[in-house]
Amino acid sequence: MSAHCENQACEETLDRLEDYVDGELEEPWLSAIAAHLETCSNCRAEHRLAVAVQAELRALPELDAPASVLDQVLAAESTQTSRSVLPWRRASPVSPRGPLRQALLAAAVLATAVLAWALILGDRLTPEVEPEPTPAEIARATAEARIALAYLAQVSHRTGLQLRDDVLVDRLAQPTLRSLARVLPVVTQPPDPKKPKDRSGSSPHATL
Amino acid sequence: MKGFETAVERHQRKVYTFARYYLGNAQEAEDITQEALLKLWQNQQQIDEEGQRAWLLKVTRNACLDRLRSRTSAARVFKDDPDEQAVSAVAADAPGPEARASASGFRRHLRAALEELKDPMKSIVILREIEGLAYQEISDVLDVPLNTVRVYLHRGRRQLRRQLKEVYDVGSL
Repeated sequence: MSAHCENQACEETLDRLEDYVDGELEEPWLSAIAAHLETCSNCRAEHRLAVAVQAELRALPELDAPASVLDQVLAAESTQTSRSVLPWRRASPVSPRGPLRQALLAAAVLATAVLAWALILGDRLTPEVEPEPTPAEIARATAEARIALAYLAQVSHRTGLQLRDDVLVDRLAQPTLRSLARVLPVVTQPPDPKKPKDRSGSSPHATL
Repeated sequence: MKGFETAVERHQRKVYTFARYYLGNAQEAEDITQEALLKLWQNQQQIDEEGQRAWLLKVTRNACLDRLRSRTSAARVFKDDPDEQAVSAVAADAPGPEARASASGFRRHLRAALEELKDPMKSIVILREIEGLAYQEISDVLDVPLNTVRVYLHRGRRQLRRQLKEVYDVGSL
């Protein structure tokens, strides 16, 4: 066989080597390449390497994700499920509350968040007393702390709105009404924003 | 909830295996796995059961690509343990110390070469050769034609051989 023919045979073999290794080559190429590999040491070495690479890749094991990762996924998933029924996720409007009550709520939520973090960090401080938390517990505590902080943000926002309303009433509306009362004698008293509204419309102060 | 747990149990191995071999780093693979499974939870209503695996692997691959892009050359953190269990398993089957060393050396070099492969060759080699997916499913995961999968698979394996020849005495095989 001439050198040119030999090179051409090598080229054709290398072009089809992957299919040959995969067992996907059909006649007449299958026989031609098998015959060439008998005679060509270079192509035989390449074929040997191709077989070794494929065998080695297929021998690499599939790996299980660590249990801690799966626990965290399932814990986060269950937390998200429970979030959907938490009160601040309801679509219905929230009834107005006093600033003091909201501040107390905010403090309680903050305390919960701090407690959750303390539970996580506590083990590091006293490992011999407290048992090591499981990854699922850590994930759950973290998720709960996040929810608590989100609630705190909402409560703070609402408290801010309430305080803003109070400031407007105390600093603007009431002084204005008092001034008007001095000028216009028919205005006897400014309305007290703290008192519930009289739905009957028969308030003795509504005297304009 | 139960359905999601079942899906996690069924698919976690494929997802983690892909991320682990793609990135070569256990911690990053764990992050990606968690991210992908949580995305499955968020989108489970839109994905039918038969399509879950391909969808998850697509999400995993995209996350791996993003992770690689975010790595700077100075902060390449991978090259951690090349799954010692796998190396040990090969060594246990090998007949003698020299053959064992040779086998684990070949595997180590192969894994290094795999990490250096470019996408989509790397994705296809992992999905086909390590995870054993059919061409059609790989085509679904990567959104490429079936024949393109074959072409890139062959190109990827040739590239691996080329890289191995540079660093490993293939005559010893």
